[in-house]
Amino acid sequence: MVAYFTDISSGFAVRLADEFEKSGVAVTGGVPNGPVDLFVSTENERAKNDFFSVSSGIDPDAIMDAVRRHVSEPLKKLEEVLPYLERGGLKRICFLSGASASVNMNAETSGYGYNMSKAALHNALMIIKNRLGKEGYTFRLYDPMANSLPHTAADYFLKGLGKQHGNEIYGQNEERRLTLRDALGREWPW
Amino acid sequence: MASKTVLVTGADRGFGLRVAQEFLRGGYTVFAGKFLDGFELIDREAEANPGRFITVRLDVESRDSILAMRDEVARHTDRIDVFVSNAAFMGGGPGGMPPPDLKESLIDVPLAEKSVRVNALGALLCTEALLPLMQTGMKRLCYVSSEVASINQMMRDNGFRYPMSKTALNMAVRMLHNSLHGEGFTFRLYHPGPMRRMASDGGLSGEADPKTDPSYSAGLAFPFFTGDRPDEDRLVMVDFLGYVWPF
Ligand SMILES: NC(=O)c1ccc[n+]([C@@H]2O[C@H](COP(=O)([O-])OP(=O)(O)OC[C@H]3O[C@@H](n4cnc5c(N)ncnc54)[C@H](OP(=O)(O)O)[C@@H]3O)[C@@H](O)[C@H]2O)c1
Repeated sequence: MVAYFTDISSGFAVRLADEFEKSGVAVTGGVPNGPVDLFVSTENERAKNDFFSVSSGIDPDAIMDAVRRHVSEPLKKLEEVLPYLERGGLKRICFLSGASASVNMNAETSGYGYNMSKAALHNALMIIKNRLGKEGYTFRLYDPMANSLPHTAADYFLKGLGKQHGNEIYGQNEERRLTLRDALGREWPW
Repeated sequence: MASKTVLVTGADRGFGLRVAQEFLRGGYTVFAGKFLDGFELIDREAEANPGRFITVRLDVESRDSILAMRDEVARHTDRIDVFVSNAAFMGGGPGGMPPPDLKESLIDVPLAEKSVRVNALGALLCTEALLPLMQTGMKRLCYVSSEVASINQMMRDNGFRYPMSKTALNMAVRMLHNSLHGEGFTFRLYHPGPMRRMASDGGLSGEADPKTDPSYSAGLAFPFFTGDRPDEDRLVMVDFLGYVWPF
């Protein structure tokens, strides 16, 4: 199997790539030269300029930078890789994200860029799932929490989730849903 | 200024114009954000109601324009009671999903980013700019969102540009609520329902149905925007029929 990573330079992505390779999955970051099984978007940083609140002053550039990094660029890359995923066997689309982007649960007063861009991404992915799910694509949206469990992330990205995959923990239809889960397996409300 | 005051963004036409008129009828002094040229209904309302319906130039995509709007409003009043964020960019054609061959464009980056800049960031920057004028009045912040912001209820399989911008708006409002609710600000997040688009002469597109006339939703929005709620501590997205939507 082959996994395409949008970026393999950050700490967690490197460790995730190691875990993939241990499981026999080759990881590539460049233009694929053959079928790809998994698309993995690893952009998940809070930028240094994203720590303002409404009282300290909104930084519009920080917000739009986050939208670029977390939405536009990864979706552009997904667009480029789709023809290769189409030829792959697994057809799985994975994004790192964060529970703080839950509109229901967010309790923060700073981090507008991260939270707004990731919440926007979640809705875009739901629409993409509604479309590509019909064509056999499956999705993973994952909060790595403290980034300390790359093997757990790799396991979640690589294994099947429905009963048909021998996985009885989740319902028969888990693979048809889009859920945001964290490294402890908890599902977060949108 | 003795009467209560409201500022409405994107008030040239549609829901923005109609809700601004509801506020006027409700006795408010209205500051109506003017964005479009050639839409004269807003100017006629100002001419007919001098000192009570005041147009202010406002492009919510530009921070300079937002700050100029704030300065202009401050020349008339030192207090805004209610802010209604309504301006939205919905244009640009269908929002970009791959056709069955998956070869065509998935995302139009400039249009996707413009949607977020106008629909989410614009609302946030207007709020920030108006806060100094909102410290003593009703402290009511109202945002026109949409059902398409609800990820939970998202059934579409195409066109994520506008929906994702409204989800970003909901998150911005959530974070504003986290900061400002403790300071006495109350929030309204409103889904106005399906509405027909308004032409410059006030005519509406599409099939004649009184329930899709923006006036209908604006009439229902006014008491929601100005009245009390039993659950002011919670941020909820409520539609024109009064139903709460999941995020
Ligand atoms: N119509 C619906 O079915 C529907 C459903 C759910 C939610 N909503 C929401 O309800 C609100 C009102 O909708 P509507 O149907 O009345 O829309 P509308 O007629 O398009 O009114 C929105 C106004 O905002 C203006 N605008 C665009 N960019 C702006 C900017 N940068 N600064 C200031 N104003 C700007 C628009 O001008 P342009 O026409 O030039 O863009 C337009 O005049 C919007 O927030 C919309 O997202 C509408």
